Amino acid sequence: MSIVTSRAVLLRAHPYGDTSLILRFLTQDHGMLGAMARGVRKGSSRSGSSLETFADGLLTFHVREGRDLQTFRSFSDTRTRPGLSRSILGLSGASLIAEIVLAHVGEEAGVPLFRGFLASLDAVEGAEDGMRPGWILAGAWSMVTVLGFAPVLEVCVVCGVSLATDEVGRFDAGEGGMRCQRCGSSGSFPRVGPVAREHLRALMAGRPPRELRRPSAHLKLLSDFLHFHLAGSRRLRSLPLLEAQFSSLAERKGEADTDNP
Amino acid sequence: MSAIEDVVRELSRLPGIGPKTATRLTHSLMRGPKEECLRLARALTSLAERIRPCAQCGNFGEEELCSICRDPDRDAALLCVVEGAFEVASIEGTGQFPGRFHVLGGRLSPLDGVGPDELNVASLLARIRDSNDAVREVILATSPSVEGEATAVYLEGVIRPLGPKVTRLARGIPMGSDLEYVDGSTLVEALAGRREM
Repeated sequence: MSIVTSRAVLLRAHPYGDTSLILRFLTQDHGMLGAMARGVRKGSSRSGSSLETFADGLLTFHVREGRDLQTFRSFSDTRTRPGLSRSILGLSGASLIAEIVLAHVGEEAGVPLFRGFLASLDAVEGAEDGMRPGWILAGAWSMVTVLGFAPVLEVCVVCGVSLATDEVGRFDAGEGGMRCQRCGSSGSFPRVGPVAREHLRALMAGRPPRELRRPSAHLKLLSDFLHFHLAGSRRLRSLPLLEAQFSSLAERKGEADTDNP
Repeated sequence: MSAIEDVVRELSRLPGIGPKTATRLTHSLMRGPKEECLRLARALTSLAERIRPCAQCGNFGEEELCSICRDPDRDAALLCVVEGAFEVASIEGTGQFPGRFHVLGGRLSPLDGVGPDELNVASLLARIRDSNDAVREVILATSPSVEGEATAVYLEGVIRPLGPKVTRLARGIPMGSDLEYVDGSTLVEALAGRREM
């Protein structure tokens, strides 16, 4: 058994017995890691209070090869993110980004994914209220991109023809990206014009546009894409709550209820 | 399936009890007097048949209203909101809380698909709005975690417009611990919540 230390962020903590937790961390050097933390729920535990969801810090654990669950030793120098608990929107947005990572990262995760994930959490936590939906979408799309599932935006996913800069195409989540005007004419795919396409590119790069139009429609696009390519048959659990938050924001702003971003 | 396997399987479903502990408990019951085993069975039957959630607060009780909601000496204008009935027992154990409770049945947790609609929030708001004794103060005693804090922030937003004062349990250094080992975020909370001596 060897002792290993890595930067890590806590994604999940499940109670186990009266005083223990089963933890799931995204680590910088060892990808997703499950660990059993015995006794940390006791008031006297030194590590217990630092084990907050979305906190990052230095994780030390005992490794035994071939085990699914390693043994937790400590979690120190933590940076917590209390700002995420100040709104349901922030918490559910961070949860969606975490869920994408939880569902798709194995032991192979690396520094770009880890840093990108932390940057997304920080952005969602620190965003002004009006920009938060954009940062949530940017965080989720950028994780999808880093994981290698980015949608195709430049050429038609059906005929392979390059889309013209000003072309209004359709987004086919099942096929993995844009259909040109001709291939998109049959079917009820959401319409994506040049501005929405530019916004999608920016979101995938992790930079939300200042004037993101119809975040609800963008979330629907993301949700459909996740359903086909990342989540399998089950819907990600944080999506319904997030959709409700986006809808209520759209209602308040008087935005049209449409699937076209 | 044998009776032994039946008991082991049922015990293993309980939190914190794995197959080994379940087997050990089952063997302990078999080794003891038969009456001990039957007493346990009767207690479990009675638990299943007689205990139900209180129609007012969601705590467990044997009648439509739990013993706390029925007690006329409890201060009905002081309401403590907790995540589960287990916390009611913890706070009751202190013997220092004169008010009544409201059990949410969990906390906001998007990763588990739990939003406000999955919690007993509507009944809490109705209780504050329709109560005969105007609720003076609501204490939010959700856990000091990201999810518990988000629940408290959400509840504060929906309760405050109804009139009562909304307070949150203090956070800080646990009794018996050593300052040297307290983490930064707890120390920050303790400093922010310091009180004059």
